[in-house]
Amino acid sequence: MAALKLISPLVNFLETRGYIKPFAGIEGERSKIVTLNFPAGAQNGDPFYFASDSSLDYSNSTITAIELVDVTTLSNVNTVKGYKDDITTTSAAFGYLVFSDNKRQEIAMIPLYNLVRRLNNGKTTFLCINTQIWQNCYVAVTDINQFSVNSTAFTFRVSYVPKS
Amino acid sequence: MNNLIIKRSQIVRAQITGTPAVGNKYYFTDVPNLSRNNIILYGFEVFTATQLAKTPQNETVVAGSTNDQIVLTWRDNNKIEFVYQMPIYTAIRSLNGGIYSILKPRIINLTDSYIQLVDTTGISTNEVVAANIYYDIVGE
Repeated sequence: MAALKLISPLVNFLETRGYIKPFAGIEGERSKIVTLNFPAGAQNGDPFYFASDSSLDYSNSTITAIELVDVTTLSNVNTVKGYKDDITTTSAAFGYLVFSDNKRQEIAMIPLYNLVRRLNNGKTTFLCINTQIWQNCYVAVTDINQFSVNSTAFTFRVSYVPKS
Repeated sequence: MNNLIIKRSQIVRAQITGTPAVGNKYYFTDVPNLSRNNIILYGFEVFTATQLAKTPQNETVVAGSTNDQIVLTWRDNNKIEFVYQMPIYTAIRSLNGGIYSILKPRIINLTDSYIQLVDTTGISTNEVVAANIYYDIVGE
């Protein structure tokens, strides 16, 4: 006889609306590492846009989780400008990630520190973002002096579900 | 155990205007695209400077050492304080095993919601308490 699973009506409602899911649940069908270098002459508040990646646009996928890979999690990463160190969590407190749609309207804005999985007891940041244009998404910083712009880069692990 | 899924989010902040005082209500600042009382809050978290040193508006966020000196109240569009004087420590995700604060979905009135100080030590004028609110839009 199968075990009976008791679910409160509120939890059932939240799950049905897509507001919550088990924190040990599947992050996505696929994941990839995405890197972002500092642009030349980066200033506080400037949007540092991601390079175009149509596989992460809303027409092709729903983004279901994201993780900022800090220097403790992965020491360095290969970017289009060569190997760079990942950023520290101290620096991460001076930046935030913004998801934007095709009209550049902001869908979600999340501080980078919060995306470091190991700082959150291993719990990933679940998303349900399905109107994004990846090249309209960006990182911005509030104090550029907290970053080593020539030797570091932002690294994210993006989980997604392709749309068939 | 469940955790929150971010569908939409916005960083909001309540600024400590004037000399910091115990008990004063410091209301959340208006955000134009959230100002029509058309958002359904289903979760949130709070940041001190440890998580977010400055807001996108370049305001200094209160120091991490003050996270046991502040309480937060959310009010809905019927002016009901449905979360009343919650210690912000409880809402800082990285201090609570990575768990978000998840609520029964409710339409909130952002600018009617506020924070209060229980101790002003280490808190300066014009600093802000920042929070990320996770929401849906009415009718979506």
